[in-house]
Amino acid sequence: MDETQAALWLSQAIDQLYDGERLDATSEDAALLAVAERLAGLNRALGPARPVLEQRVAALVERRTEACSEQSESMPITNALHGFVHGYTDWVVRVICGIRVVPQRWNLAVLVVAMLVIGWLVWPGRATLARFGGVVNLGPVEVRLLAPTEPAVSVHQVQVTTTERRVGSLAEAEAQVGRSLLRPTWLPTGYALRQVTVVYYDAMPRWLGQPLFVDLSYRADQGPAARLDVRQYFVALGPGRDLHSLHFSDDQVRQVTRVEIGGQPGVLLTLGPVAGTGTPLPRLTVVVWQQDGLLLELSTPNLTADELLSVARSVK
Amino acid sequence: LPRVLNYIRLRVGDEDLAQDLTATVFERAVARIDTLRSEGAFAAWLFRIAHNTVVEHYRRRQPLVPLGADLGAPDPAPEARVLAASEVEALVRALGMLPEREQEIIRLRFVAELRNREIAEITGLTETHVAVILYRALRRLRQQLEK
Repeated sequence: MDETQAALWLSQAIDQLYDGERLDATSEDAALLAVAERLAGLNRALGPARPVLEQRVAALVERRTEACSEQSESMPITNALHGFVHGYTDWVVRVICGIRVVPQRWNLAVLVVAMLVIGWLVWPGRATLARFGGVVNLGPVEVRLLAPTEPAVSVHQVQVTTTERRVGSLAEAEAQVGRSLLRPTWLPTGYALRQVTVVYYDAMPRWLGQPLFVDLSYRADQGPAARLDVRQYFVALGPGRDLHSLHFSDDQVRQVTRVEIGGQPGVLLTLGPVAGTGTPLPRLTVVVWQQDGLLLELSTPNLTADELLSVARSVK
Repeated sequence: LPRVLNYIRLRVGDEDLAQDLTATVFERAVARIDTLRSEGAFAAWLFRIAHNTVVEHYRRRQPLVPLGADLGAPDPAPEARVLAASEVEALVRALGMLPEREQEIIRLRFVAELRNREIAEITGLTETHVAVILYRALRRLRQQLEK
């Protein structure tokens, strides 16, 4: 192996080191990787920034964020501090637009989509918005959802309208979205595709891409509770982010299990009614993961977690 | 923030100066945000500002402080004590023995945590050239650490 090849191999091995993987190495390469590993520990060993520096930088970002908000494109968004969507009223949204966004007028629009995706992520319905904190990169913007106890840089609350279009077939939906859709290649006995719905957010600017998602509803003959919904969002978490990095927490989220679907990180959520609240939400099992640039969500009230995972792993 | 601060810490070897220059980097980044054209270019864009801020500082004021100059100071500040921890000290001293270009590649790779492609954007080198310099730097660093 000449020097260039050895150098390229080493760089690849270092990339994998950062990704938590290891390549088989010769003793010479292993020694170099050991040095790389020590260097990779420098950031941890060098210690934190002084609080005054953190505050100074945070203040810079805050001022920029406020400027972003003021310059945001006028949209059918009520900028009032109430009325976003039921369930999010005690959350604040922090947009790190001062550092990550170009151009600025897109900020609020992207934020809206981020909130929609997040809000709809854990249950297929607007009535229920399970809350979770996390960081989502969408396009050029990093959106942070913070618990209300954390300091807010800015608060945006919005109202949006949707249009649902039921279409006759998967092929018709694919024609509308302009790409092939993913679908399960294995289903439990008796299940069949009954309905395809394409959902548009009318108020969104065109560059965001519409529709936002497509629902495939599968039903079985055993009754209305025998159902499986496959939702595919045309949005994905940003580079360096995956579902395992998000923290899911809500009274309705009973259990969160990390899973892998086709080698991609995913989460299996068990949702249920909250004791004493009388919430109508039925027990649901939901699996969410990313595949082929889409964010996928499967949910069912009656299938077992193993059955749901089998369906998810058959999606192509 | 820690990556930028640590990158500058290793370049200037002075904690107070590193904190000041880091704040300057973010002030400039916020002021120049309109020059950032894609999210993917963010890290390289920010560290280019950091690199230029350090270079500009020394061009105006004084020669580059030797790497690790703070180490072993008689009454170190808390941050300097962290820097003087044995592992960091060993690495910083060994790093200081490398040519400046190799030091910079190491800082960008392991402290800024940039990929070779991003380092190539900042330095104007090709990605392959960055890999070769990194390889040579690590070999040299290994020899220094074994001494």
